[in-house]
Amino acid sequence: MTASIWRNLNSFYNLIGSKCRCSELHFPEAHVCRKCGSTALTEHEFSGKGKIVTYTIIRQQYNDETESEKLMIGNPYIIAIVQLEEGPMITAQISDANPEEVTMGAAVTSVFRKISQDGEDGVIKYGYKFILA
Amino acid sequence: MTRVAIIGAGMTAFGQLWEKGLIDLAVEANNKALEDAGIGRKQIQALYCGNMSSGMFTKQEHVSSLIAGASGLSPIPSTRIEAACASGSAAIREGFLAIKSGLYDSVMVVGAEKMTDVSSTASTRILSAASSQEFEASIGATFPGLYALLARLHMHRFGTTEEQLAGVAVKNHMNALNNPYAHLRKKISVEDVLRSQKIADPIKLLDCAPVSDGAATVILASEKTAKSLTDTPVWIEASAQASDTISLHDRDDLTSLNASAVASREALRQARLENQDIDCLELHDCFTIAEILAIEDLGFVGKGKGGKFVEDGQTEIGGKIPVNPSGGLKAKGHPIGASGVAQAVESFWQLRGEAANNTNPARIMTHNVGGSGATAVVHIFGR
Ligand SMILES: [Zn+2]
Repeated sequence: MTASIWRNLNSFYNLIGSKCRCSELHFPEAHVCRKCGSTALTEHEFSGKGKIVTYTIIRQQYNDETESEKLMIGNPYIIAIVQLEEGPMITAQISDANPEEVTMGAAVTSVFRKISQDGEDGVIKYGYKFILA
Repeated sequence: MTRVAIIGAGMTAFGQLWEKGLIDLAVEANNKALEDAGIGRKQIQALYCGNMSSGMFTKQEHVSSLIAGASGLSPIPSTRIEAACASGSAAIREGFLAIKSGLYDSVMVVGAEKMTDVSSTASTRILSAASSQEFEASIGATFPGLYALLARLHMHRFGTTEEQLAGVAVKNHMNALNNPYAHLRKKISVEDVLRSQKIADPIKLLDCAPVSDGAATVILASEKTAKSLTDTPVWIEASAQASDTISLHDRDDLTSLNASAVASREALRQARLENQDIDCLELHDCFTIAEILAIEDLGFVGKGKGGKFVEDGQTEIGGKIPVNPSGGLKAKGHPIGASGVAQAVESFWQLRGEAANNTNPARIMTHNVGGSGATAVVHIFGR
């Protein structure tokens, strides 16, 4: 788990994706441009501003009692696909909001939050969530 | 190149089958198919097994050889094919290609999944491994959640209603009433669906296919072998498969599953057919929105018009194009790796006039989706 978090630190911590020489932007970081097939990609940091394309309120139990890793979520919790102002879309939790406050097209901005924790004293995974702007 | 036929089929009942393990299920379906085809074990030259996640559901991997051995088929080559919920159809496609190539004359394809040995929370988490573990599942996007994202956008953009989504479940439950193999043989109303437990808005419990155990098997043969064994082979007229990005958020259009559209166009091209030549559909309705997306993406109704098409009864038996006369994944049940093979079994029975709800088709299209559309497999079967 630790290594898999570490590998994606750029994407999870700093909302860093890739920019192709053809100008296509990708999130998370890409090895090959989906538009032109080029491998000449450089790091690109996104602003974290965007809008909600679609969302859902998840009411099922997510955390399995037999696993030590727990996701930091409310009950229920909100999952959305957010389109970043630069173009790419991202799936994320919408935090600090009641379900009835969330609307299609709502402006959101990214925040840095605790995503999950593996056991009482275990590894904490941090990353992006979004809040209503 | 030879044509490829289905010459025999068999399946277990689908449901919560606590007394049967994965291997029991697969062997039962295999034995039924062998008997149905009237073919000896020694004539089967290879086995293809569709299975999504025996490792996570039952802690057993390498089930291809396990199933071959338990079915009395060793030492023939046996290969497991995994493409999430499309594993079964992807396995059929591998069997089809092996016969098409001329390498084999007769092969067996089995799809099997044992899902109910784990808790419902655990099965939700296991299924989410068919989406992006890093950028969807691990942040809390469950499978009902991903389809809910698609459903809300379809409703927002095209005016599709929760009642229209519910209509898919009502129809498929009605169709399953007659199907002795179906998991959910219970008539439901639109109100029942709307009032059922909320899972991931706008998806409710009765919008979802159940978690099922089960297995299904078909035996495929070359034209020469098929004609020597049966007067009523069912021909595989097309076999097409397409892929897409695993994450929804990487796609250009979230009101369509592009892999379904690509595979459908390719299948129709292979068979030299048009949509109007297809008489019946067995398609991938893991959630009610999936059936509406599919009838649009497969080209049977315009984009955004699927909800109204269902509401008008055009997908019922006797409608313009009967969809899921078996009850579909929604009511027949959805043992992940078995579902695609079960669609072929239903098609075989439909085309031979042996199905529970016989629609007397000349041609059937099946459509099997992996994950939220990262794989789609489309087959066309004919008499
Ligand atoms: Zn490029």
